[in-house]
Amino acid sequence: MLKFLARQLLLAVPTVLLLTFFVFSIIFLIPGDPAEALLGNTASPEAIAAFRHKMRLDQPLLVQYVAWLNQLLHGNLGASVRTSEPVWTAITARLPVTLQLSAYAMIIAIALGVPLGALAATRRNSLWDLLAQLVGLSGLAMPSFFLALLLILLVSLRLRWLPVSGYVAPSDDLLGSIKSLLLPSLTLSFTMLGSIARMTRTSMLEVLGEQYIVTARAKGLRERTVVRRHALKSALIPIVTLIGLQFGFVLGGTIVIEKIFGLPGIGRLMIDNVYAHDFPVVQGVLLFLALIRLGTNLITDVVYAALDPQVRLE
Amino acid sequence: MYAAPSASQTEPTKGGTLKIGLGEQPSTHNPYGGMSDRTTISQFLESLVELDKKTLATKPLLALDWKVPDDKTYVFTLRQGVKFHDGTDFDASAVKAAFDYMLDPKVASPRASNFDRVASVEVNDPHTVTFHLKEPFGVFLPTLAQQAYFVSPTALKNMAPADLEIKPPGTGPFKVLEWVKDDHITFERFDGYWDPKLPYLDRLEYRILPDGNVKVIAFKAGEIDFVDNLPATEVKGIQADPNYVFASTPSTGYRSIYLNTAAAPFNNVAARQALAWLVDRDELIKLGTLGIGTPAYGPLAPPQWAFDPSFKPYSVNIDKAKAALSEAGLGNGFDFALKVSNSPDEVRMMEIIQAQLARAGVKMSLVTGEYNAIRATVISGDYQAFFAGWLGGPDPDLNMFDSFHSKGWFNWVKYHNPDVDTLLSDARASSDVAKRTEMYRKAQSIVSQEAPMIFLRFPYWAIDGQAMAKRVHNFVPDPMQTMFFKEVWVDAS
Repeated sequence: MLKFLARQLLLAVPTVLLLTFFVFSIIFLIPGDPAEALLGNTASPEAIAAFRHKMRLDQPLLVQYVAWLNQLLHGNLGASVRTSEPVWTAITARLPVTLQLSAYAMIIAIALGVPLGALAATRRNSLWDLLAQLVGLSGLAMPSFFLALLLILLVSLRLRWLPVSGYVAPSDDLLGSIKSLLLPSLTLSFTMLGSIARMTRTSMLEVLGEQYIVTARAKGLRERTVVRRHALKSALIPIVTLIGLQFGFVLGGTIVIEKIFGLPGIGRLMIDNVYAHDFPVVQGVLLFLALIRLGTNLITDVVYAALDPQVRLE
Repeated sequence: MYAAPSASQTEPTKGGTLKIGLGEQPSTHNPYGGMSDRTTISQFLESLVELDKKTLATKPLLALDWKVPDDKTYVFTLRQGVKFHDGTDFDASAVKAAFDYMLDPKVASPRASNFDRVASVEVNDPHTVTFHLKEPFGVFLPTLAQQAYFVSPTALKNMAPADLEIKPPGTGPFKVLEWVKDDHITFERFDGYWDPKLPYLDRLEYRILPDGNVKVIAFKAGEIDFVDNLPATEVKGIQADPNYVFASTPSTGYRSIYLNTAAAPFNNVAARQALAWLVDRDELIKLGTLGIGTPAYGPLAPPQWAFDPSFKPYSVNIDKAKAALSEAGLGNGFDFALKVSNSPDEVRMMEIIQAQLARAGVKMSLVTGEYNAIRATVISGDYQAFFAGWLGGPDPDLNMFDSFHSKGWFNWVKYHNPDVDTLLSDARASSDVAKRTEMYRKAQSIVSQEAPMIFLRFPYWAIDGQAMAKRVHNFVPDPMQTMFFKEVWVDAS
């Protein structure tokens, strides 16, 4: 197991290096000039030239990249060009919001998706099965910004159950915090819920047809025990992979959700700064998110290896 | 079409919180750092002078009075008994300290270029300060009103840079209490404000709501009392609803089509004039912006003193357009490409223009893209036509010089006319309003005649104005679309 872990970690090194270069250069693909975007419509050409020089934007890309990498190796992500706020501070201030949002969304998706999928598989062609398929398909098909607006109109404006937008920190008011994140996390969970339910159903159906399930049933075990102890555990292997992969999508999804619901999270930090051409922030956030993604993939591999011994030997 | 601002019918009541929905948060509260963030800094920072919200004339604020002994000297008498939020006195040395700071090359303030004509600031006595200019500058007072904010000199010296970005102490009616980035900004009343009656409100709370639809829903759900930049589609509904008040005043910006006069086909005056005769502004406003806005025929905007409401050099006239086309040697029309940002509202407006031009055989194709990317190609001269807007400013100079003077920073239409250059330079140097009005109107008339730009509509935004709940009183809308809340009061909720 340790050897497996070491190999995975070693493989991550070139990936990270490649990632930094990609992350650094991607901002320069955004059309428009950062200096003009930052100084506004009324800046003089001289002011723009001076700013470009100050920010080293007049140097070759590779020189800028090496300087940035050097800064990174010293543990410095740089500071926002617009606000001078250190990028690391900006990320850590917003991280709790995004983590809470993603965690709630994952919990909702898993807590509803797995049972729904399992129910659909064990009662094939029943009403439950139909419901699972419906949720699965609409979760995949409906854009989250549309679902968000529908939910806001119904739950907040019509029923007045939950606030339209805004974030409350759990340290200020725990119940208020959960309320403030309920609609956003429900919206965010929907796509994932759909995939998880569908995957659980397929995987369960496959497992339920296996020889050892027949054996278990033949031994006279109760159906409940067969499903829970024998079928679900094996069926969970591809689902764990899916959940790991979905975590990346959830993080990506927070960009849209945070923007719509006005939540001060990382996704919002990134998209707002893309528009503002605040490149140190965009680079910092992108790198941070990419590293998180890399980390979750690594964890998924390890969990997968723990669940399925064959993986370790490959 | 402009509704009257909400008038106060009863005596103002003190106290209460006003919640405002803000689409985009400011980049910084440091007035020497950011450029276009007057939205929130106007609540806690003040200038020597302010602009009248009706006439755009310069009015006393931190300066009670001023004299202009010659074109290059401005002597201000300061208001006495004014304190910054940190207790420091506001006096002549504070004025000098702020300017020295802003103009310090090490600070590299993006606002510094507005004041590059300032040679020196001289403290005469604690309440008198003199500005010496390098050359005459007729726009000096409006520029002061909009660009020169005063932060406590003690804070400039001692405050940590990070705090200076969030809560620099000013002299304004409110002071910054808290700013949670991307979420909200809260202000509380400054008890030591120089006008003891003001402000009426205890608190201002800006909620940052980037999604326009959600902002309107939050407003309708009563979570916020006040919204700006209302989508055009919401305006009629809000105006008709007795629960809301819509306040509006014409603003200084305009929307127009930029024509590249350095390249074919618009290096030919007659081709440009043909467009001017073909464009139907009334139809554009009726169909493109749901009847909101007024037709624009030149760069001078309705709230500016140089504006001439009778100026209407063009009307829709297909015969004159065809005559201009044959004069240009383009008998049966011509093709050209117009660059426009991919915003659906803007594309819709240009599709209407497209149909109007086709009436005389002029084929306009649309090239859409991200605004900043398109703008970059326009600046480099790689375009035929471009649809954009200009925010303008209180002074006519800000609507004309940079766009139409040969040396203007934003002369993207590559327009060069020695007469216009002389008029705009002379008008900029003069401080005689009557003479300046005459010069700007003359320049506007030449520019419209030669049509390097096809002016379409006032204002720049979809709509001039803000919507508020009925409990909000005494809000006066501003032509620069900045929102001032020191005289606003709310019914107890």
